[in-house]
Amino acid sequence: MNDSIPAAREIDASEPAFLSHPTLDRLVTVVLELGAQLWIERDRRQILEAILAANGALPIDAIETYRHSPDAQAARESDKKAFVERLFDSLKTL
Amino acid sequence: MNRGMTGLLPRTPTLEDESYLAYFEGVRNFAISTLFPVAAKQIEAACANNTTAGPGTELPISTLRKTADALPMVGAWKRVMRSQQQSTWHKIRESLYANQAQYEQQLDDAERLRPNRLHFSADFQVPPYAALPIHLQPGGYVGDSLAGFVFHHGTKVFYQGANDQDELHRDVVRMTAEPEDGRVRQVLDLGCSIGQCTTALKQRWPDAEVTGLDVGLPMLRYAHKRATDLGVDVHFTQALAENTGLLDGKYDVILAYILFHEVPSRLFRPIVREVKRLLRPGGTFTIVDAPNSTQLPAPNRVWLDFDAQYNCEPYSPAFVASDFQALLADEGLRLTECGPTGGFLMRTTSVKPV
Repeated sequence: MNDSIPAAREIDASEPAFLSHPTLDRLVTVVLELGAQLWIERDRRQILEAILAANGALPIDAIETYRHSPDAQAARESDKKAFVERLFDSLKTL
Repeated sequence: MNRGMTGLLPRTPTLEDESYLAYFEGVRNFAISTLFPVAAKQIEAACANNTTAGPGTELPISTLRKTADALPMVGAWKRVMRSQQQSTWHKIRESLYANQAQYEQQLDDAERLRPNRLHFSADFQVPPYAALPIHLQPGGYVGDSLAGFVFHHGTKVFYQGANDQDELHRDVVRMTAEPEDGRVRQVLDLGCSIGQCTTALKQRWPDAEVTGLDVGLPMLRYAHKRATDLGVDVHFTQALAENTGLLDGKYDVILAYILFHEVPSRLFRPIVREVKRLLRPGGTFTIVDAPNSTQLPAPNRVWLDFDAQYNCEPYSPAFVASDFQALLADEGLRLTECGPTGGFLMRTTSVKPV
């Protein structure tokens, strides 16, 4: 019984192709994943902005003029790397 | 952080994971409600133009597959359906396994809190037929210690959201046949999975002893935890539907909800025979499962074939093509009703003659 780590995503060289070229199948998966990441961000931002607005805590230019601290910027870069890797995960075994 | 519940479903550990799954719920809905009807029309048109089988003759599956797969829309639909399924399982497992110890603890706590309700033997052997990753769920129902948690979240996506309140399961229990004499002391939920019907059966017949039986111990452990959380006093037993080890004539009511399409056809008769053995005279047997039909429209055959080939539903086509009414009669159960549930399933009820 596997009770330690999740199995790898079951997209590998044997993944069936339903479209005219296997690359297209992988690209559909990329697009679906991209959509998921967009939706996650939109969902969270809408909740966040609703909470801030309800508390009167969001000055009008606060988001547009914001700058990250160096540490936060480094964390952001790390997040971005993970984001891209997840997005293009299905291409890795093409 | 405990994010609480959505109805009867524990929320995922993070909002991000919840949003991800909600998105794929939407993708699945789009594939089923928008893409498939278009694909279906194209399949019907392509079949009408296919003269190789001759007029009035159903296309062989190999010909139908070739005809359908030539349509780009069919390929797109299949790709989205399969990728959605893969991504959903992957995210759920990633999310839950990040908190594995916490979930394992919940299972252990339930077994300490309510002992003698979960029955299994360390010697139990899972037959190979039951160890498949049904619906592509990694580890299936028997090979992943968190399979019950994973399945509960996965079926919320599968049912396009309608799984927060055991909605479908309550409906199934409402349509479960009661014996004519009204005596219901023992109820068996055969192939109970995570026990959503099991708890609903107890709520319908609160004075009865209700048992959920399944081959998957991880599913039963979650079912037990879930019933414990709900405060519903039911039993769960790990056993095979074709060889339950339960007593002759013990049960007044037996339900098999979406069991048969997930077992090989060679077991249909042994399971029905076992059900007859378990029922007392006058006891009822209710099957709620995919419709039996040898006359499916071409688009439905394409979907069934896709599920069998690419969504790890290998036993489903044989179940759909089978004649359960004849099998029940052949094994000495008297058919009482058979018809659609109002959703996509069929309900067949029978009784053991007095």
